[in-house]
Amino acid sequence: MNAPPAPNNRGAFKGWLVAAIVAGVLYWSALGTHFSGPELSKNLPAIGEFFRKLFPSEGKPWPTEALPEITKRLIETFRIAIAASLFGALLALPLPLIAARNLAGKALYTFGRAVLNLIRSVPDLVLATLLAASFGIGPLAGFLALLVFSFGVVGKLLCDSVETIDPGPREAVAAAGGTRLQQAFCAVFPQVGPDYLAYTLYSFEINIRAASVLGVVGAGGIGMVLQSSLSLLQYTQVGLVILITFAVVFLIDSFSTWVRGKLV
Amino acid sequence: MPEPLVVFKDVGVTYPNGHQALKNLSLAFAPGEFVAIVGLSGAGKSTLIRCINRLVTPTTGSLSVNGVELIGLDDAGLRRVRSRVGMIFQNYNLVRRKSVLKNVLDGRLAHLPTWKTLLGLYPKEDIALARASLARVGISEKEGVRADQLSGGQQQRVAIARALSQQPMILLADEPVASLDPPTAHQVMRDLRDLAREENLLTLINLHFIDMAQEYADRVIGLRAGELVYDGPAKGMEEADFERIYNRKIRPDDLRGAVE
Repeated sequence: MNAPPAPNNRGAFKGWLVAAIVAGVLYWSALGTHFSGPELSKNLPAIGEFFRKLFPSEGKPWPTEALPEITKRLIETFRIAIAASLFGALLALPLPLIAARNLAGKALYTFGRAVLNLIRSVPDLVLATLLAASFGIGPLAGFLALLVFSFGVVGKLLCDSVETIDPGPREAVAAAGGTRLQQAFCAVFPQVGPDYLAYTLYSFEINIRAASVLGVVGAGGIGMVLQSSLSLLQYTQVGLVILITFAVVFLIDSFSTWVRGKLV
Repeated sequence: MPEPLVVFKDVGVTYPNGHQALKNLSLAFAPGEFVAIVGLSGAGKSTLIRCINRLVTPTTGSLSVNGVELIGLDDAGLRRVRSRVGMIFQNYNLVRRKSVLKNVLDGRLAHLPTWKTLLGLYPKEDIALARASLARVGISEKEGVRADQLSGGQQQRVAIARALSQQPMILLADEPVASLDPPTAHQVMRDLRDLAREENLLTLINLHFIDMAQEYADRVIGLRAGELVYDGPAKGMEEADFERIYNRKIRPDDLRGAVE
């Protein structure tokens, strides 16, 4: 027998090396977060304490007087998410013409994809903070930030979808003398219609959650109430806002997911 | 022979990967001819047909359709030529999610400004023409049905109606019956032959099966490795002709067989 065991040994060595590197990086990262067992067990009761304060107790009932404001801001949240998703998706519709490999020329494609990647690399909270600083505190900043997000995510997914279509029908339209735009509208877009609707709903689901915290940076929505009641130490109001937001977001999200399931 | 409609002169096609699909092909086709192109897969049948509407651009030689030189032709000119050349495909190439009528209307796109296409503003005459084309292939009652609800044979009829709505002078068919069962395949071939006769269409059909070519075509073009190895009447082809095209004796799988 002359089977060489060398490759096996080298493989095992590689495995141990990778494990050691992963462990090292993990330890280094954990140090940076001040994460430690004792710290955690020391502060665990404080978390329980905080949670108790969110719920009504002797002399501190639910702040029902805040309900009109909460409702108003919730509806605002909803409107921000809907408007941003719809307008963002609408603006994203022509994107495959410049950022899908099979519709755009090579130079245009490279440029279009670069822009799309750039747009998606800006976190929406950062964008909302910047916009709130320039447009003023309020829902306009939130709407614009999420619009950019929807535009980026629907655009990217739609372009990917367009790149996987059946090229046959498009060849048929080209053979009949259709222009490049006619090929796109008559043979390509009809194939990705359900995908497009599903991506719009998907971006709406993310937006409704994002819109709930946007207020923390002053960009409108229910987060505004959360932020102000937190800073005024009105804990039961914080609790009420969180509960209602959770319930409403959960319902909307489930509904949207259900509709999306029907589409595919 | 009447004035030819399509003229290949020393046409060669070399693909970017270096594959030489057609070599120095010179051919002429007259209006109303019903031509079958036969050969093994990879012999250049699809490339030949796709040159005529320049879905594939010849790399050498010259090729004219209805007196217009295709090589070097600009986009607008090319679309004008394509508007009179109908094409049907092995996989029908319908937009599966669109209605039958909408698919047939795609045959009118060359005559429709792009902005009207975006708004779906098809002229009344185009809709009438699309309906008439559907009637000719015998599936008028399906016009509102989504294309993917139809059987293969029905989808190929819709594709033929789409080509007819172009009011073509030339009909190209790339393996039009390869995905169909034998009875449907024969039906589609008969329909194509009848339509071509009624409209005096120059029809070029790629066929894998030599017996179908003999049964329906007037003229057979045989290709082998991108070269013309047979050009003559379909009747009277001999064993030697087949062997030249296939580079071997005819086998049962080269034959589709008659309608059972």
